[in-house]
Amino acid sequence: MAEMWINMGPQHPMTHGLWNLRVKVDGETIVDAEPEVGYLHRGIEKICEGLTYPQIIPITDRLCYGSSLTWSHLYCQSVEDLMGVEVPERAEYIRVMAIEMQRIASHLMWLAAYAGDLGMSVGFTYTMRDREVFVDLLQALTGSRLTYNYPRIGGVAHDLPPNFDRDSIRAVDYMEGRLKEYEDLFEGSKIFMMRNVGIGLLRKEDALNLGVTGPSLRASGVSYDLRKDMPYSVYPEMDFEVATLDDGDCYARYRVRMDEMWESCKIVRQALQKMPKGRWRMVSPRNAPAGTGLGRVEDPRGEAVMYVVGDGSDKPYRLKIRSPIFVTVSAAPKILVGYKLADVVAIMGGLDMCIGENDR
Amino acid sequence: MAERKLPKSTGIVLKPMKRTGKQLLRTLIFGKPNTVLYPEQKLDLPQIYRGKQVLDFKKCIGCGNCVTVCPNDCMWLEKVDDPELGKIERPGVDIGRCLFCGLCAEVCPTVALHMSTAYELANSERGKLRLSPMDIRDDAFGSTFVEERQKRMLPTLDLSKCTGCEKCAGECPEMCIAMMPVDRTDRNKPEINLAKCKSHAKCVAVCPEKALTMTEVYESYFEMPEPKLILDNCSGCGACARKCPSNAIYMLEMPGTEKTLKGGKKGKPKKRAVFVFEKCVGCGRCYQACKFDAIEIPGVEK
Repeated sequence: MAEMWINMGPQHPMTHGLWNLRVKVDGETIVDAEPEVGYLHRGIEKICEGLTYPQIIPITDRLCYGSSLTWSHLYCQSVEDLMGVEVPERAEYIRVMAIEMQRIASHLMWLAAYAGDLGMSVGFTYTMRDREVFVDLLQALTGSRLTYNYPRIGGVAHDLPPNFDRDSIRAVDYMEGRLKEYEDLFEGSKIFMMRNVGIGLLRKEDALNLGVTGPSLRASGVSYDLRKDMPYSVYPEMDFEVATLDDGDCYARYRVRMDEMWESCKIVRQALQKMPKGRWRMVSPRNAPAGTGLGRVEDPRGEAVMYVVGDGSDKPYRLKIRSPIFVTVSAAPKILVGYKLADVVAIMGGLDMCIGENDR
Repeated sequence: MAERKLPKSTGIVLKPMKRTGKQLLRTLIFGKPNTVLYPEQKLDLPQIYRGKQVLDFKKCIGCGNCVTVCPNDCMWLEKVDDPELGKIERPGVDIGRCLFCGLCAEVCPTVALHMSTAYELANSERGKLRLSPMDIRDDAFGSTFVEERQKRMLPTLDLSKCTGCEKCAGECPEMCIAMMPVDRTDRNKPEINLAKCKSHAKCVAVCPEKALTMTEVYESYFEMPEPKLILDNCSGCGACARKCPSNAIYMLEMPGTEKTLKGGKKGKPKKRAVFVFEKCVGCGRCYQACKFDAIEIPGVEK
């Protein structure tokens, strides 16, 4: 049978954002695939060159709608590295707690989208409902629902609101109950398992060679998590495990994210317990010295890096953003080849695409 | 690869159905809906929610720090003729361009600008999204708002009253006031080290001319640039002092610079600008106002 190219996207229910996946099919089997990104390019790196250091924080929130807090934290971390600003310990604990809440919310949004992809409306509504708990908490903490603009150079914008500890512990308890429910709901469903187990195999060597990071890499059997391997902020104080599975299929990627949510619940509890009292923000300098600053964090989607070059003025000379998804999507040909066209939705959905940070 | 237990055929139906059935019962018995009927019911918003800006006209000094810090350039200073406050400058907001980051409220030195919880801001006309200072005015809002920034009572100096008697410097228990001579004028000016000040207010009590007063100052998390005078360029025109929103610039006479007029009379002496940094909010308007390049701010380009 003749081979042909099929465009899945830019407007396609599978894509979750504007990107195009071109697949070459032989009958129903995929022979080749080619991701095309860049439809959402806003030139954020260039915009940042014209803004002062505090003004960039709300812009970095717009990098990813799923986990904007991680990105503004990463930006602040790299600028603090450049300026040599000490962050108060309380601010570090608040940041870690907020980031882990954001990780849960982000993974829940992925799970909702994934359930929707696989035709499981119950999964979609349940997870979106429970994500709301964490979005509400973050709203009470930061003052906004999605674009938080919370971390600052030298601390965080606000202290914890009243009763926040109690509400967070309740939310985490609620979430742990719900996670058990999801496991029954998803893994108890034979259709979900049949569409996941053994589909979209990403070998360990391929994942390492392509530079895949995050849950997709950990699902391929590489225990690589920056929170453990290159600890930043107060992660060395936290007791948690890196979720790793050896299988490298869609089910493993799903499972790794579920385990990460369990670990995040643990970290939120510990951060609240160990949080010291004191200041949450220091005065940040206006001008950065000439030099470079680097920040690396474990985003919900993988390893995110920001590199800031200062030239002595109040604006950065250059801001480089390394997006984890931009690299992960390049593994599309390796994962897709050999599977059926109907599996594309499950395989690409399992990578957790976020186009905002990808195209920047 | 680890062995996986695929669910048996009963698992297709029973386990997920048990969970959804439980949820159905829970909803039927406790009956708490997950959504709200929007126009009738509204969600409780936290106090720090960032909605439409609200400006306290009386607290605002019109420094324009909010305009400078805005990442989207959606604010501007507008001249307002207020019956009570006279001719003043106050900021307006273009809600259509605002990204609700709240930096304007954070940078405000007098805590006059707040983000309110009003979020229903849509309008069918684009022009109505440009809110003038009068549209965002609400002088009573500040009293309902708990400000998180720490405030300190600090002495501020009115240099026009100060005689340079050095009594305040002698009284300060923290030794944070030093009398410094002002260049080319024959006067001394107390320099207050605000970092060391513990708000004892003894300098205020001892001042015979009542030149020092205690004022509330909110802690700023932004490092604000301080202007520097290049004395040789200063012509004494006083444009900077007129522009200064916090009256931190005083024009002092320099004796010995009088021009001899026709007929042997002496004219008025030249003046120079003197900064009182306790009052400076770092807006840089003096820097923009100076036509003779006599004021520079290190690290800032015009």
